[in-house]
Amino acid sequence: MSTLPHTLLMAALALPAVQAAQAEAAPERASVAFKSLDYQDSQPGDPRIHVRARSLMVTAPVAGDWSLSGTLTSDAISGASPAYHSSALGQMHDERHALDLGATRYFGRGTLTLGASVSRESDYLSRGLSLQGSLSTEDRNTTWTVGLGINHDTINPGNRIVVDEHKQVTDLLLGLTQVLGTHDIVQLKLGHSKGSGYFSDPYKAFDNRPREHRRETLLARWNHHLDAPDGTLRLSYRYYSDSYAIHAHTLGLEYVQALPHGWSVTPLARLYSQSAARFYIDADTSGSPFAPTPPADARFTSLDQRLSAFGARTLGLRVARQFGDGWQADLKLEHYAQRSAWQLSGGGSPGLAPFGARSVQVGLARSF
Amino acid sequence: MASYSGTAGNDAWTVINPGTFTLDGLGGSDTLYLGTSLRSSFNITRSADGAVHVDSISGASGALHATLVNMEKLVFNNRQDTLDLATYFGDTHPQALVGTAGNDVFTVGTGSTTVNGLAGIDTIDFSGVRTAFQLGKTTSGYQVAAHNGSETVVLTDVERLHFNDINVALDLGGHAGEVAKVLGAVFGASAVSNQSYAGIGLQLLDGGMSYPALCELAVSVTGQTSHDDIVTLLWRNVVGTTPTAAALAARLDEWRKSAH
Repeated sequence: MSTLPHTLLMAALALPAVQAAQAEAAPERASVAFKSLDYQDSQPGDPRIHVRARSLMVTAPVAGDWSLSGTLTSDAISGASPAYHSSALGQMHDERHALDLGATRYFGRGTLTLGASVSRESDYLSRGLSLQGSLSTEDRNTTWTVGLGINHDTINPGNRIVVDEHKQVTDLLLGLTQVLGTHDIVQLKLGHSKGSGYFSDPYKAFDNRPREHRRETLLARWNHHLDAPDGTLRLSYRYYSDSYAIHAHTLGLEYVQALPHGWSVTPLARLYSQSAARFYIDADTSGSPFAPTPPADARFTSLDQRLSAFGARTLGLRVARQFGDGWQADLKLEHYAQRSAWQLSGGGSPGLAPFGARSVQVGLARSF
Repeated sequence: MASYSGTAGNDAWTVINPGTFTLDGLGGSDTLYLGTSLRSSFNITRSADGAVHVDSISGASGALHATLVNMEKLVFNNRQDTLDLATYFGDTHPQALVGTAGNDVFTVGTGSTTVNGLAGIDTIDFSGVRTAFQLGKTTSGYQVAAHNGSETVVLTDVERLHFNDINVALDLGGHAGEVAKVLGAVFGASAVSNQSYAGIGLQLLDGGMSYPALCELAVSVTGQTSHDDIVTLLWRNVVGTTPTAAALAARLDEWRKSAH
């Protein structure tokens, strides 16, 4: 079960189950887009997970007021994952194949999109349905968005620690997009997620998480166009909190600079900080070579580094080229670094190895 | 091969990485957690010396070879599967022995045994030398566990342990304490750890001799007969100095008064 790569891919390939629909007119041309992602994360002295992902997305207008879209994704995941904290790396290999389908009906001032998705790994099957609608004011300056997504997952880990476990998650999204003149647009999104079932990582020692999980997100974006350099500044802030008592802040900054001959370049930076889950057990190397043993009476426990308190930063660069005959190509490079000491309050979780990742994404698209 | 030891209390370890090691839990109830691994991933055997061997089944991704001594539980499957080593190999529930109001002598075998001696001066015979066993205090008495894991005895109201090479007295508030006091006062601090002297004293008290009679016997062994010499001897051993004339006179006066 590759939660991290899956999350990463969803973000990187921009294929969320609940996808914002901004356009209120059906696309006039069909498009085909291909993306390839190569991701590798590591800790000092040890490479960890390597992901190679390919996706093919097709969008086509149908009958004037409709569009259909489909995305086929295939990931090859391999490498090593720690059994606890950043220790006891165990080899793993898996493949994931996913299909997302969507149908959108366009109205004069709004849209309605129905989506379905299925994703399969050797130990994980996920199925989802989503419904999203948008409605704009007469002047098109204000758009409201409402979305609902339901995912049902079945988990059968290879180590047989559980059999036929299930997880069901319902996502609710409420968004507001406001145009503020010719140079600015702001967006506010509220997300609420409620899940029940098996949320533990079956491959991590002592990973026993509550079977109920609620998440709240607040996302604020501001895009500002600068005339003189013909560039756009994108600022974003995201607040996340959940029933595990994790509170996270993400600050994003991108600048899109248009260049002659259809080129554009986009440097980006993201800063991230999160607190630890209330049942996260800190690393303790005093008993080495034995792993820490959580208290016998602890109801919930996790030694998963992803639930620790840490800070992170991402630096990236995207270069894109728009060709005159409907072709578009882009290359995106990102480097991610994570440290306990970078946690916002300075109280990061102790005893964890630094963690880092790099990704290279290449995209090619054609409109017909 | 790496070796690790626990304490006289309850200990717990978690092993995730493959490796080869020996783990001695010593006293208490000790647990080895094996992370997400399933019980079916291991061969679990017990050798003739009582040690438990946990070995990865061939083909597992990482090989673990653990030799366990004085270990009570194995826990698999992220705490969902607990194996009780006291019963896993077909042992019955711990043997429970209860004494009488008199002096009892128990002989215990392999496995787990609980002994309650009740009143009297009660003794347990162990077939082995003292160093082959770990002796630890519990809330209600003592626990004796063989280092090779072959036997564990939990004691309540037991006063004596008999090993092949030595006897151990546990009742420091009873006869053992009285013998220690007499040896220290009459023969000096170094005599308290003299196993021969202690053995004689315990044998006499356990055999019915009174505490005053033991004191008189001990003093007679020193060859001192005058009151002055006896008081001086006791003073030197207890206080650590030679008594002043005034102190000696005062103690002799107290002695004469108590004698009348």
